[in-house]
Amino acid sequence: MVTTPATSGLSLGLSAIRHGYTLGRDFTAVIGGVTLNIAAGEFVALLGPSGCGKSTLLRLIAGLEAPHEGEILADGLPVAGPHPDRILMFQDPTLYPWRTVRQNVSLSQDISGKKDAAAVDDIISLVGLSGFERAWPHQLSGGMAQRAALARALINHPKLLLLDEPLGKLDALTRLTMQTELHRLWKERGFTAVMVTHDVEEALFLATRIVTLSARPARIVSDIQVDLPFHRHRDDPQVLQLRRDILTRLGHRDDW
Amino acid sequence: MISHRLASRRTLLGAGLSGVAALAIRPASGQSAGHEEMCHAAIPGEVRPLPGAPRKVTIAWNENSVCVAAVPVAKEKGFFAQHNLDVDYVNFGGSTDQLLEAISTGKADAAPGMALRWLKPLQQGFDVKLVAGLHAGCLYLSVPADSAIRQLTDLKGKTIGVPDIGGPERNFFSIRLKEAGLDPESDVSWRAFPTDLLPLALQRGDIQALSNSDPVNWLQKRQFSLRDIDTNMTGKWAHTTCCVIGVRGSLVRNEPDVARAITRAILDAGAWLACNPVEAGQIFHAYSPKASADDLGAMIRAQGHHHQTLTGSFRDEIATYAEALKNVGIFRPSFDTARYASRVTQDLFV
Amino acid sequence: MSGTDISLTDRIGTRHPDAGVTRRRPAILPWLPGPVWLADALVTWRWPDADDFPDTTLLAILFAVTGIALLTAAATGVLTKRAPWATALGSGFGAWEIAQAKLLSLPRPFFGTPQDLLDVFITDWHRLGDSLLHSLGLLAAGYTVGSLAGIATGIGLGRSKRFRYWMHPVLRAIGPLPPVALLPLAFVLIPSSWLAGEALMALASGFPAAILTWSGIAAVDPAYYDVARTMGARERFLTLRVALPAAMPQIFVGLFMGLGASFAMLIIAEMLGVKAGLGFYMQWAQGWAAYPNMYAALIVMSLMCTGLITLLFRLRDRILVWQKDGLKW
Repeated sequence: MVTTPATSGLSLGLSAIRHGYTLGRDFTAVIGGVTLNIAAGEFVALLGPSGCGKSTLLRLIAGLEAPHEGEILADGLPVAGPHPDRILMFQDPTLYPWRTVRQNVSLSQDISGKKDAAAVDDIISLVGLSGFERAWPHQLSGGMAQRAALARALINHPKLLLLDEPLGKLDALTRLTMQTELHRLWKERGFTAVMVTHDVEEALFLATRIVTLSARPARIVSDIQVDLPFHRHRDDPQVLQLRRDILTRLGHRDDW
Repeated sequence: MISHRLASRRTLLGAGLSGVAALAIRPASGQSAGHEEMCHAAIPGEVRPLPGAPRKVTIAWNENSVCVAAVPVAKEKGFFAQHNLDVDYVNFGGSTDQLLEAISTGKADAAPGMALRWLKPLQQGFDVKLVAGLHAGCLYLSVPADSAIRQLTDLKGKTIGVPDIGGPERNFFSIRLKEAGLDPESDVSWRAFPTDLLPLALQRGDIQALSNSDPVNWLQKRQFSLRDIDTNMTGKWAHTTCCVIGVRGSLVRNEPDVARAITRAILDAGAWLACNPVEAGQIFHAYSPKASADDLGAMIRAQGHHHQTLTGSFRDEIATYAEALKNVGIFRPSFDTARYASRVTQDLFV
Repeated sequence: MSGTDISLTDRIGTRHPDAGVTRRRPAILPWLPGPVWLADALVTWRWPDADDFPDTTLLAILFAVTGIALLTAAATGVLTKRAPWATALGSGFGAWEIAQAKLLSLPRPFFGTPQDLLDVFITDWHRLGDSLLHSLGLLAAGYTVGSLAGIATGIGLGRSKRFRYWMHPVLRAIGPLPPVALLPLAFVLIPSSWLAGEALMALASGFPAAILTWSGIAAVDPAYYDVARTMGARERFLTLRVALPAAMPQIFVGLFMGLGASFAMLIIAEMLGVKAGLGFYMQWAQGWAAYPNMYAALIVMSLMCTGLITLLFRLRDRILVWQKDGLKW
C-alpha cells in the first residue's frame, strides 16, 4: 500500500448503481450495477472501453444526475445534488469565453458570494498562469486553458475532484507536463480524485487504484491497487508488468 | 342639383362646343332608355377609331376611389374599344400622387386624379398635361351625428383628421375654412391617420372631424353614424371639376389622336355613368367588395358626374383652384395662377 | 512555467497581425481632394445656371471652404486614409452640379440640383430638425422598451418550458406579420395613438431580439451550466450570469435586426396622427413632389440610422470585447 498524503478528501460509497437513458422508445442501460467504495485521499482511475458509461458515473457522483437505482454516499451522506465539495472537470476546459482567466478562476466565488482575491492569486500562481489573469480564453492554448479550468476547480479546496479525461485533448508533451502538475496538486491539496481516462499509462502514473469497467452497461471488471511509490518511471519493469496486466483485462492481450 | 347640372353643361357649350345643344337638357330621371343619346360626353364629331391594330395604352388609377369609376366602365362598356384602344390598368391604391410619377416616367399613358392633389406637385414640372375635368364633388367633412359642430366656423380650435397631410381633403377644406373666415393653419390643426382608422381617432377624441372620400366615407358615415358638415358638392364648388384627366406630355405632343381617344373614351364613360349609376355601381363593385353595388350606385348618383369640362372653362377651373390654394398659402403670394393654369392644361379638342 | 506553453504566449501577442505595418501611399493623393473641391466652387460660381436656382453663390462658397479645409488637412498630414473618399465625393458633387444645375440633363423634377438640396437645409432646417427629434424620440422609447422586452421574452423561451409552451405559439402568430397589418389592431386595442405607435415600434424591435436571444440561449453549451451547477449555482445565476452572457453575440444580432425593423416601422408609426417626424416629413414632401425636401429628409434619416447603428456597434464592441473578431460597422 502506498502512503496516501495527509488527506482533506472525502470518502465515497457507491452501492449497486444502475442508470440508463431513454432515447425515443428505446431504453439504453448505461451502468449495470456498480458497487465501489473509495477512501478519502485515494486517486482512482476508471478505465474502460469508450462509451461504457464512465463519464455518466462521474456525473452521478457529482450529483448532476440521480441514478435510477442504487445509492451514492459522500462521507456517509447521500448525494442529493451538486455540491461545491464535489467538483467535476471536463475533457474540454469549458472556460466561459466572456470572462477573463481571473474571472473564470473566481467563478465559484461569484456563485457563493464569498470574495477572496488572495485565494484567486494563489491558485493562479499554483497552476502557473500568473501574468495571464487578464487574458481571454480564446487567447489561451489548450494546456493553459486546462490549467485555468483546474484552478477554477480547485480554488475552493473541494474534497473530491472528478476528472473526465481532462488531458484527453492535449498534445503528448503538454499532457506529460500536466500529469506531473496534477500529481503535485493532488499531493499538496490532499483531495480525493476520481479520474476517467483511456490512457493506461496515465492511470499508472497518477492513480493509487485502477478500476476497469466492462463495455456498456458498465460493470466493474477489476480493481487493482497500484502499490508502487511515486514518482513512477514509465520504463520501470513493475509499471510495464502492471500495464500488460491491465491491458489484458481490457481485452487487449494480443495487441502490442 | 338639376340647375347645377344644366349650368355645367352650359359651361361646356359655352366653351365652343356647338352642335349638340340637346345634350344640355336632360330629364331628371337619367336612366330612362329613350334618352340614351344624352348620356354621351359633349365632345363634337363622330367617334373615329384609331387606324391599324388596337393601340395599347396603360391607364393608371386608384381603385379605392369610386369617383373614378369611369375608368373600369370605359373598358367594361366598350368605350375604349370604340376608339380601337386596348387598355391595361395599373392600380396605385392609396396615394394618388404616385399616379403623376407613373405617367411622367412613362409607366402609364394617362390617369384620372384629383385636381387638388395634383396642382401642387405639378408645380415641380412633371411632363403631364391636364386635359379635361371628369366630374365634380367627392370630398366630405364629417363629424359624429351627436357632435356640437354644425358648421365650418364651429371647427375653430378643433383637430381635423385627414388621410394624408398634403392631400386634397386638407387642401379643399382649408379653402372652405378660409371662405368661412377661419385661418386653416392656426385656427384648426390637421392630423393624418390611415383612412380606415379615422373614425376610431374620432371616437377616442384624437380628432373632432374627419375628411375623406367615397366609398370609405359613405360606409363610415353609416357604421359610425357620422354627419357631413361640408362637402365639395355645395356652392360654387358643386360645379367645379373635382377629378381631372392627366395625360403624358409626350403622348399629347407626339400622338395627339391617341390622347384625344383616351380622353374622349373616359369622358364618354363618365357621362354614361352619370345616367346609369346602378349598373356602374355593379361594375365598380368588383373593386370595392366592401360596399354593395347598390351603395356604390347611390354614391355615384350623389357625386357630380354630370359635370365635365374641357378647354377654356376647364382652364378657368384650374386657375380658380390655384388661386384658392394661393389664398391658403400652398402657393406663394406672387404666384401667377393664370399662367400656371395655361402651363399645366392642354386643349385637345379645338 | 513550462516550455510547451511558449507558443501560447505568442498567440496573445499576435492578436492584430497587421498592426504596426504601414503601407506606403503615393504622397500626392492627400493633395488631390482640395483642388477638386475648389474646381467645384469655380464651376458653380462662374458657369451660369441653366435655370433659376437658389443659393448658387452660397454653394460655391461652401465648396471653396471645403476645398481649403481639405488642403489644410493635407498640409498638416491629417488627410491620408480619407483622401480617396474626399476626392470621389468632390468629383461626384461636381458632376452633379454640372449635369443638373448647368446642363439640366437629368429628368426633372425627380432630380434636383445640389443648390436645391442646400436650399432645403437652409430654409427648412427648423422643420427637419424638429422632425428628427420627434422621430428619435419615438424610436428611442419604442426601441428600448421593445428590445428589453424582447430579450426578457427570449430568456423566458430559452430557460422555461412553461413560458415556452404559452409564448411560442403567440410569437409565431404575431411576430412574422407585416407591421402595416398590425396597425389597425394596435390602434383599436391601445387607447392612445402615441402609445399605439410606440407599441408597434416595440413589437418591431422586440421580435428579432426575442427570437435571437432564444436561439442564443438554446445554443449555449450545456457543459457551461454543469460547470456552474457543480459549484452550487442556482437558476438565477445560470440565467443571468451564464445563459445571458453566452447568448450575447446572438442577442446583438437581434438588436441590430430590431433596429432595422424599427426604422421601417417608424414610417408606419408616423402615419398615426403625429405632428412631426422624418417619415411624416417625407410623406408630405412626396405628396407635394418636393423632391429636394424628400432627399434632404432621406439624408437626415440616413445619418440618424447609421448613427444609431454605430452607437449599437460601439456598445457591442464594449460588451463583446471577449470575442475573437466581429463584424465592424
